[in-house]
Amino acid sequence: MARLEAITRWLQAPTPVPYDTDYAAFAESLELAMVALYNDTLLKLTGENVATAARFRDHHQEHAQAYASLAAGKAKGVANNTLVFIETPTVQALTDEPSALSFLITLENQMAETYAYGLTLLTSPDVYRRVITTLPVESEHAAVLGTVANLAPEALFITGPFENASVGDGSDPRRGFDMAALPVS
Amino acid sequence: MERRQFLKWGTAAIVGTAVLGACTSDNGNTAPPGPAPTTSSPPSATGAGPTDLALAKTAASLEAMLIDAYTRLMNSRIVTSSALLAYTQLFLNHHMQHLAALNGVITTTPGQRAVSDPNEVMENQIVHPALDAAQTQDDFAHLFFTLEDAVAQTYVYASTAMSRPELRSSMMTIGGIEARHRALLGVEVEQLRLDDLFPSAFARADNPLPPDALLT
Repeated sequence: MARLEAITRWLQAPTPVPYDTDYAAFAESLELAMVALYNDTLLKLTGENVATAARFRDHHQEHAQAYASLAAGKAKGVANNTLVFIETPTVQALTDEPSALSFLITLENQMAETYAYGLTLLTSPDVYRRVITTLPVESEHAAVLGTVANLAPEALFITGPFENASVGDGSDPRRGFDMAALPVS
Repeated sequence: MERRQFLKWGTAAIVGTAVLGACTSDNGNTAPPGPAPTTSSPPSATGAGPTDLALAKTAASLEAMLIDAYTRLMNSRIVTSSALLAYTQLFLNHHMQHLAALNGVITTTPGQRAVSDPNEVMENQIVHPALDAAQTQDDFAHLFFTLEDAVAQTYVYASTAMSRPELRSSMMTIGGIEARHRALLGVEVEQLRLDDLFPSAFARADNPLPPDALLT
């Protein structure tokens, strides 16, 4: 009986609209890019910071899996090529732990901004609910890394008292990642 | 004892235990979800719909509650931690701007007045008893982490229930900042382990408040 009810609920659940499944695939690709960029940056960290970053990387891996399950077959299972490409020179130029932490903080801030903007467009409950439960965790990653980097309180909130719900090509730390500028590979 | 249970049950006795106790574990996930607000009423064309309005008013009342609590904290002579005092001033400013933004949403609905009063249920059941009982800096730290934790989760809960994309986004532009508050107090003041700060890779979306703390 319980199984029948579950099937009935599934059949009655609204089908995500194409934009939202595209967005889920985009989010998966960003999260996998975060995993890759964390892996590259871990080499520049020491002590407990390695464990902290590894934990956050694992969160991004879980986020990617969750978005893939919502993408109606559109998820590619690979990191967003454009994001990895534009960030690779920065990763290679990281010379010390503070610069590595600063890099990760910027990425986490941009992920939160990406999701804040995404919410202005998403209409499928399964997808927007997942975004809503992901955004605060990315914000918290930025905050925790900011304390590790000994940032002043104001510097922990680069967009002030609100997350910025806007996106761009990735070059502005106060804007998230635009799906048009960073398409799924 | 789990912080969210403390908020859900919300009695003065539990407040005393939670605030004065030293437990920090938040691994349990046993609190039942709160009742979902009705979403049967369609939103109006010009303003927030009834359900959206109720959630926005509840959030505004929580912001007013935090403004009141942080103001009391600033006026207290007990707190001397430079980290807590620095965050207090900044977070107070954030909450004032959040309240103004929420009132901007609320007053787009004809006939609705801005919210300025703190959430009465939270004030009477939790904040005032806890503030009155707080005798040490650690007591204040526990209380403010718990409040920010609950308010951050409330935004997640409210956003998932709201009917319009722009409202969901607006709520989470605040909710993300509340989550940062929670994390900063958790790490720097409460000195929580990552396991306690991040019991999951995703934020909880159930209602952390006593049911009667939701405004109508």
